[in-house]
Amino acid sequence: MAGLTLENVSKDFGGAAAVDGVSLEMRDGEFLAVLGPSGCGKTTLLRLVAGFERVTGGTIRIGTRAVSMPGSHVPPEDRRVGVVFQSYALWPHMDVAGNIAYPLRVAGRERADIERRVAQALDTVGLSGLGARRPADLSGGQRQRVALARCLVMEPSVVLLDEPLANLDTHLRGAMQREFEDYHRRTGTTMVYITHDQAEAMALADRIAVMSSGRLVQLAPPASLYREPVSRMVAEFIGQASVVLGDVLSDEAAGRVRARVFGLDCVLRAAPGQTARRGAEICLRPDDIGFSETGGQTGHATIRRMSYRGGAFALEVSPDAAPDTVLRLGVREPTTLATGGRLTLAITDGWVIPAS
Amino acid sequence: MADTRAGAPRPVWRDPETVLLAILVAVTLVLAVAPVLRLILESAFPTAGGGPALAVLSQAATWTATRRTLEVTLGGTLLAAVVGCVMALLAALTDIRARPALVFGFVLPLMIPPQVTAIAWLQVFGPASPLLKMLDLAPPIGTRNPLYSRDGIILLLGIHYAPLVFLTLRAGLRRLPRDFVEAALATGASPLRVVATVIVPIMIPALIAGVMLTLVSCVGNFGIPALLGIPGGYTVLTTLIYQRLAGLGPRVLADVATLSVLIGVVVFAGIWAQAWLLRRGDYRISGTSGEPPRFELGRWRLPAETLAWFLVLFTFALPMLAMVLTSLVPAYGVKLTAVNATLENYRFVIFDHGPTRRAFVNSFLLSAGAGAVLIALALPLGHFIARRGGRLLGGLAFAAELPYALPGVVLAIACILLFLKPLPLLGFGLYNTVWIIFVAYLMRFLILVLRPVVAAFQQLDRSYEEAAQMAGARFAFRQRTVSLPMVAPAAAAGALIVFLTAFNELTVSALLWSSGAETLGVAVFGLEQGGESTYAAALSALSVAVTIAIMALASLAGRRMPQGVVPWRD
Ligand SMILES: Nc1ncnc2c1ncn2[C@@H]1O[C@H](COP(=O)(O)OP(=O)(O)OP(=O)(O)O)[C@@H](O)[C@H]1O
Ligand SMILES: [Mg+2]
Repeated sequence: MAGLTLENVSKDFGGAAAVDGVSLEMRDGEFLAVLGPSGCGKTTLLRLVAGFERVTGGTIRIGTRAVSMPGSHVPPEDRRVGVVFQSYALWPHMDVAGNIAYPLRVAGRERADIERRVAQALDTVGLSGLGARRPADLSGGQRQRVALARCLVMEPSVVLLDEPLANLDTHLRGAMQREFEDYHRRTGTTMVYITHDQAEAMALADRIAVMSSGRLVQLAPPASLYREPVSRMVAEFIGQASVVLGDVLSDEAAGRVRARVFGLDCVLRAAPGQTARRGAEICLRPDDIGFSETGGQTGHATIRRMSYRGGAFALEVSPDAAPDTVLRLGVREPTTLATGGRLTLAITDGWVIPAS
Repeated sequence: MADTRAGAPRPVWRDPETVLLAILVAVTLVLAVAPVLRLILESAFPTAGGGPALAVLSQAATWTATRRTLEVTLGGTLLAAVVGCVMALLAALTDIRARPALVFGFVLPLMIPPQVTAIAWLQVFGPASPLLKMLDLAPPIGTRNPLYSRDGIILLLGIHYAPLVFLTLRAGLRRLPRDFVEAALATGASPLRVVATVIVPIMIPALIAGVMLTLVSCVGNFGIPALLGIPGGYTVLTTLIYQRLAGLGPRVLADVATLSVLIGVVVFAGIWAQAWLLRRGDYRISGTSGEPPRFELGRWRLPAETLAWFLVLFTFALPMLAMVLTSLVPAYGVKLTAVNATLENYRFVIFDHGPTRRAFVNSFLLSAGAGAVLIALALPLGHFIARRGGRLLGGLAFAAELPYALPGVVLAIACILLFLKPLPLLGFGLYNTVWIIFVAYLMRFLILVLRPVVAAFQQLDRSYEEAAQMAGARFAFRQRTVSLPMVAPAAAAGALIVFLTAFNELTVSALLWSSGAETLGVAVFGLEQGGESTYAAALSALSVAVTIAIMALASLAGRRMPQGVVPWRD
């Protein structure tokens, strides 16, 4: 087990930067989720850490050992980094036990020792008795577990998982998530977990790294990522935020500022040192906006759309002060609201996105 | 920073992966690039004896042979294209019955060596034809066999290479997505109109590829013009080279090298033209692939099936029957009856005749050996080409195509030039030994194993190898335990094709054999040229039997391989 450090790591593919100056430090035993839209460089980052790709700039350290630098590269087979591949990468010509035993065979262990450890690993992932099956005869979830078990027996210093649940159905995802959590708690292994499912990332990770176009945009625990996004991109990517323009009327004091949004006075959260500013970006979550129905043409906003979400409705609302803006709100059923209805709004909370 | 370095990088020459790669590159350069370079060098700066190299270009014989080569090539290709197209459309796009048997039967002539095709067809016509004799239709003794002519060569080239057009076209048609056709049918177009407006334009690139391949193969073909043209005094370029070299020996090496370059230029012009034509239009097909469309023929199905089976019978069964019958007659020209049929000819070629017995052993060992060595070479080389890519390896993969694209006669000349003198440093020579044939086979057939292996590696998700890498497995162990088992079927299929092709091969060995180092092809050729048609027929029948047995075996094994690895499987 070991921590993982990235210093200004970059990777170019023929001139285009897939990973661009990423720095982060993981302590030993931390669970980090890497989140970001498709093509933002998540897989590339993971392949750099695993050693499948060489860095074009920067340094990667596992523990205190520098494993990747331009001009010096420890090959993957010498890194003891476990990888759970999205496609599982179970070898079809070996049975389940053979797949799991492979790292032990490589390490030159005794037959009896291998058998014992494989049985143990199968037990840990709940697949006892399936050692003689072929990977093709397993379900998706079972294959995932075999891939995890194969990783487990090599007692890796860092485990990397590339969208391990992307091929599974929703129910299985929940079960496997719990399994990863258990595994992490039991072994205390440093884990990097790539996903583009933000709920998964929130549920599992100690910290989340959000990437966009190869860059690390924000690295923070899930709650602060949700409450204090550093940019419009993060705010919109995490949760159902609406990013709107408003005027900050006072300098930050004790983490708060006075502000005016859609002509409504409110108190918002802000980063230390936030100064009064016109046209600031404000992140509003559905819970940050109170509303009530008004009759006729009074009120501040019109309901543009309502869609049923099982027990509740999602509303898309446009304030009169900014008719092109869409606010996302929710209301439990039953309700008298309808498309075209008028609402009065009250902004009870919100976050001022720091000017970049 | 210096103290945090991850250990000093290992010197390059101690990294086993790099060393292996360097060895592979060197071997491939020798096998693929050396013969081509040597030929070019020879025609630019002749070193072998003989007159000035360019003098040969001013000889009338050269230009007659060139003209004749073009004549038979164009004629043969045209015939092959028409027959191949008809069969491909029937087999790929209609609901014709017994398709696998039909495909197998139609592709067989391609797997049968040209000299055997020629021998078999010679038994169909001519005064000694057992078929005609049985029907009392045989022309009087002394009549010239009508196949000893330009048109005979064209007919046989066309029949022999029709499967080539068929295979390329069928492969193209198979990629045709069903929704293309369904979309056209949905607009109300009739099936014929759909064929004309949708299918034909889409299959043009495959057709071009098939036609070019056939053109190039016809130019380089030796067995058919050798057996039909030499007796008829109709000499083409390949047989001209053979006759010069066989008659006058290495003295004329400079002359024939120039002729070889001439053929090489024609061939590469063809290949280049194909690449150019394909690049001109955007023929990429997008759409959900899957099942190709199948037109229902309705009441036309029976006539279509009759036509298809007639083609199979005419191109394969008829000559084979004539050949087998000839192999059973007690003496050439005697009318075959149930009473006088004999296996004496088989007994003679298997047991009594030293050269043919030797030839069987030689050809078996040469082709099995070439298959085995090429597997060993192609597996690691294919891995590097597919995984590392890069200009050097890409160039190497292309270079490996050259000795196969070159006509066999040309490659043989290159080998003589390379190995006539003792090898530098080693002090012994390959010329006049069986080893020169072996090396020539390695050069010629490398691509037949390399191509499927590279394709298999490319289809193999690289995460399989990376998973082994993460588990700590080093290069050699990783290859042995993970990659090789997964690409082995493709390599085996490639080696099998090498075996089949080399076992029956004549063109290369006709120029390289020496006494004691005869191949099966040379033995058949020698018997037929010596007028021993019954023995030649018996030996041919044996080699066809071996070929079909191996193809059938491969078809069975092919069930477990990815589509396209065994070419004649549906
Ligand atoms: N081997 C490669 N050669 C060239 N470009 C590459 C290579 N691998 C990745 N890229 C490019 O790098 C960028 C990042 O790719 P990457 O696979 O890391 O994205 P990702 O975040 O994992 O996306 P996804 O969520 O779709 O898996 C993409 O633009 C991709 O096209
Ligand atoms: Mg990815």
